[in-house]
Amino acid sequence: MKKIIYTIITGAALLAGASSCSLDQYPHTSDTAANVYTSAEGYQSVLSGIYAAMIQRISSVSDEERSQNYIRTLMMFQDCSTDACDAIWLSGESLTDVNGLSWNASDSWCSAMYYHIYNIVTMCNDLIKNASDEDLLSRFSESERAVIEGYRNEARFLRAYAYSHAIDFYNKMPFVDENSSIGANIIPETYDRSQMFSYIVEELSEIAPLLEVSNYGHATRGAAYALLARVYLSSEVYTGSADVANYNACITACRNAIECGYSLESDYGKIFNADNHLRSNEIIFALACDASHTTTWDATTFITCGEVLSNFDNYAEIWGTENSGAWNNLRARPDLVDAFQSGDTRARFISYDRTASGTDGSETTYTTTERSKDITAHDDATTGYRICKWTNLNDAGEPASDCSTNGANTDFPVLRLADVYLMLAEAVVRGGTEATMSEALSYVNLVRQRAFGSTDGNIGQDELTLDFLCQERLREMYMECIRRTDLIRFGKYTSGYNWQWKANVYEGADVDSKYRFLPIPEAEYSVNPQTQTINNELGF
Amino acid sequence: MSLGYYNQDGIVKTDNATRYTGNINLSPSFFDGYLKINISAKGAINKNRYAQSGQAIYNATVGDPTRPVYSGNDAFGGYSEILSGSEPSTTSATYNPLGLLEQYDSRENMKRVIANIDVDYKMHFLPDLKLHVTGGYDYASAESEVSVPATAAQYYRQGGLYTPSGPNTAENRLFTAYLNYNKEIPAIKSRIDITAGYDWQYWKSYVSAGDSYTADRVTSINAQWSADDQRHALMSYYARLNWSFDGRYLLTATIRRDGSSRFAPESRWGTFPSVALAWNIAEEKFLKGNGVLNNLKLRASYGVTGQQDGIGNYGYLPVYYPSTGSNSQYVTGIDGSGNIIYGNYYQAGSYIPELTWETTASWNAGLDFGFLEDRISGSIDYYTRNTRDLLATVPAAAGTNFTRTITTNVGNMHSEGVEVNINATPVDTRDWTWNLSANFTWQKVKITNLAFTDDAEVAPTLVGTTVDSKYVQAFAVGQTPYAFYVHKQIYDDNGRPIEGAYADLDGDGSITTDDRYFYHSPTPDYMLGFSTSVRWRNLTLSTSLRANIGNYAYNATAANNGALETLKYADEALYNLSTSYLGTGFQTRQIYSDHYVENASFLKMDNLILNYDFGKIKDIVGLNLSFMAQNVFTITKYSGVDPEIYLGVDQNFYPRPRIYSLGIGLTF
Repeated sequence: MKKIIYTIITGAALLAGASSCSLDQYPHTSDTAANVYTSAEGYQSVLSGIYAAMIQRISSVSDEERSQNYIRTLMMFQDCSTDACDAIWLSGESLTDVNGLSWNASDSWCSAMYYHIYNIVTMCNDLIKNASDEDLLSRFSESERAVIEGYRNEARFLRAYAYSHAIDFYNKMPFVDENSSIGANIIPETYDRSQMFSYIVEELSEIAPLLEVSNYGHATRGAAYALLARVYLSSEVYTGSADVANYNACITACRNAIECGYSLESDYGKIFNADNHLRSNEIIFALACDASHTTTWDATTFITCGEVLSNFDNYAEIWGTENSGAWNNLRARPDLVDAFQSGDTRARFISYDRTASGTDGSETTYTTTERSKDITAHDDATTGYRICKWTNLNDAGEPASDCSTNGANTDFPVLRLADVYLMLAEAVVRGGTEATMSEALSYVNLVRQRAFGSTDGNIGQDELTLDFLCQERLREMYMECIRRTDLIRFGKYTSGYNWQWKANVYEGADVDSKYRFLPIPEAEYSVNPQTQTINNELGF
Repeated sequence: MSLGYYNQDGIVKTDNATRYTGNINLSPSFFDGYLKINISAKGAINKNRYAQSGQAIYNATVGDPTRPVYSGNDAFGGYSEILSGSEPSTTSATYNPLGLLEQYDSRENMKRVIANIDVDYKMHFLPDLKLHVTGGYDYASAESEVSVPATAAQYYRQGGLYTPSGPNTAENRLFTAYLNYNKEIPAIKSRIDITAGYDWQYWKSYVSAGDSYTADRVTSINAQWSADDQRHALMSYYARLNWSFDGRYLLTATIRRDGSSRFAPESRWGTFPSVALAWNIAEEKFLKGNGVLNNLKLRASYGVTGQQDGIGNYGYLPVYYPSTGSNSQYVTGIDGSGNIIYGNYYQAGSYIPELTWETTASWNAGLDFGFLEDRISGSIDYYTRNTRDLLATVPAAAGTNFTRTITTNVGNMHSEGVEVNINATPVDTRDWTWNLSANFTWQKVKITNLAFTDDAEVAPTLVGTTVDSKYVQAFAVGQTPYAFYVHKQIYDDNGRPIEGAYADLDGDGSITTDDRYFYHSPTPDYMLGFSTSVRWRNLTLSTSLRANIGNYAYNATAANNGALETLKYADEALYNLSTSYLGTGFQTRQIYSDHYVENASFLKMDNLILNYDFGKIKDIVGLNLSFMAQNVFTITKYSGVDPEIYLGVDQNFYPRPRIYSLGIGLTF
């Protein structure tokens, strides 16, 4: 009996062991391409992943130290390396080189920017590749195909958006599209700026009419036209020559964007508050951040909490960043503060510290202390004005979320109407003939009227110069990740115009013209040797 | 059947492990011993408490050392913390290290079962032919909990922390079957031993999804994580022949075919042969019976092995990871009543379709010897190895994969070395025994090729642990893997490094990243071991020592915290500076300076044991008393905590304990 039992146990155990032998092991809590691209929902989830990668931390890139997130990294270069705002924590965040325009190929932020851009491109290529093949799409019904093709067009927009940063940061750069392979030991083609310019322009022109006119949190037709205008406006920087045709194309793109039916929001502050998802009148395309669904610790959480500096009691009343404390990250450079005339509601600064001193009825009373407008010593966070352009307040003026556990509720507008108006005007001033100077002036004055709440700030035609527009764009667009691009286009970035702490000196100093570019990170040299040549040509 | 109990505290306060074990063994035998079955089962319950050691060590290292441990009031559990107004500063990255340990309660409860069945069957018709079959099963399940009170400064803003997790399981299955034929054939003066077998192993681990809460254990802090399921299998077919001729010549030949689930079906299988020859010279007529040299054996072998450890389980597959929880979603549309709809998303991981085995072909030649009935014995070996398709984590060219770095087959490597072992018993009398044993290894490892650098001269491939997100190690042809790739520091007349002054090695008149050079590596050139024991009657004193020579380490703690800028980051907290600042006076961190690459050669006494054997007491119980010290001393010039640094970058090192133990052994 015993013998039989032993034999049965042993036999059964060994049989079970032997029969389960297989080398085909697959993930069970994640999916593979074979089951992701089988439904419209699968494509949609991949597309959502690309949008999310712009505002949330993405494990594939952000796990690396100092990589943070796409928008935060972008803001470091586009705003903190300019006259707009100043990053306070330099050594703690290894930002000294970014804030002072002195980066090199081993800078971690340069590396983060580069990999964020190409990560978005790679994600888009993957979706486009899986949605472009006739055979692949033949698996779906007509209506599903239309939906999937819509996602594909949005991915093409996002790829063009990422490439619009590549062309802006690099003189030559890797180029990959949906025909490129994924794997190891693959060396991408290198594009120069002219090639990339043609590519972006062609892509955006092709997809713009195919995109939806309105699609919250997603690429819209207006977004494709506005981005197209942005790229055309800097065409001289990218192609090396000023071409009236490009300025005309810029004007046409602006008109196409405007014709999608936008109008200026009357209250400038409401474009940057926690209810700005309601500002579809002006905002053409925003990355949708949401405290309960799309929590971000970078993007608008970083921007709103980062604006909060120590020594300001009940800061949540102003910034809406409840429970987050003072992040002490971003302050105004005096050059930004001084760019404004009085009466301009876009000058959203606070010049003092405040301490609660008591109550007057239900109101808290404060004693205030003026801060120095100048950033007298860089590691002294008590100098320099506070910025309150971005907030996490809802339209009623209350904090919209608990920023310490959920982050901010404020969307990040990528493209908006006022930008388009100013671009159209600039294209005319730069020689574009598709619109008249008086039309250009009227668009600028629309932006000014919103800023001043009256026609008091209107300018005359003789005042509409490139210098004026350069400053007007600072006033309208500071901390919106565009300032560096503008300064370069106006020829004022590396030399000829200095702001406080530029080049890491108090009074500011010129820097080498190579700092119009970012170096490609040196980790890339061994796997894409052309990148070393690209850097060396620029002097990095 | 046996039962056990074990309890150990870690070196960092609050670290503790407690273990209860039990096991059962059954070994029935059938058919006059032709069939033997061995069934064993073990069970264990582990209760561990884990200290937040990484955080605590970091904060103890960089925190302001002049601040008191306790604040004298009740806020934040009584630990003194860096405040902004009355709340812990958001921008201060340091917390009270004792608070980090004592307010952080992380407990794990793990249950584990291991079962094995071995069957040995001697064929009735041919007893020299044996079948052996093993089935093994190992299953562990753990649940854990982290609790931090709302008063703790570390989680003050969110209101404490409560993270229950589990059950997390790990499973390992094993199935082995082999046939063995072992026969002495006097007619041809041979003994042959042939084995043919099959192995299959399977590992599965599962981490349950979960979420973290505030100390109230109800309010989510939006830190959900997804479930993770990892599976991996290995399959092997193999055959081995041992042929010994006349006791003088030995041949061993094996061939195995290994398959791994970690590679695509077309690149999953590898064939790995090996041949070894040995000539037992001592058995030759001209030496046999000689009273001095009792053993002399010459060996030579060639073999190929495959390696697939340390890589991901699904590295060849395009895997899409779903986002976690309701706060990692994105807008998917607007519903009929104007509400925004959100949905979870996918993000892809990197993959290498052609990923395959790393293979190493080794040549080995060796000589074994023994004199005076092995009173002096030892061996000398020389080996050379060529590794192809080395698996390592390297940067991915942007646009060609989904992550910045990928683990892939990167190139080829050559290594060679000499190993010498000597054992001797100089004294062996009734009262005294003295044993000595020493070993010596010399090794050299060089990269011979990198897959992406077929032709042109290409920059080194940056690898390793980053320091302030900068790479300080690299792979390059002709260099040891993980060699340090740094700037050559220039020193002033007093021997102090000059900040930012580096040698212009490429002579282009400016200091750029191209001026870095290869400066030593974490791999030692020589490794020495020595152990000895001296017995006098029942008292034995023994010790073992170990030395590595030529290994270097990058002192990242000194580099990262050794500049004046790291004393204060524009906020209310002061940080501790590494004492390396006293020697450098650096204002800003100089991560690339070779000043931080230090000689980490060392001599360590690993243990010292004094043992007294009382023998049988009253013929009932055997008593043995011992005193042992582990990690007795380290002699090194290295300035960090410990010179033995895995892969060479010394950052947040968990100190090795010095342990004194007293043992009482009783045998009945």
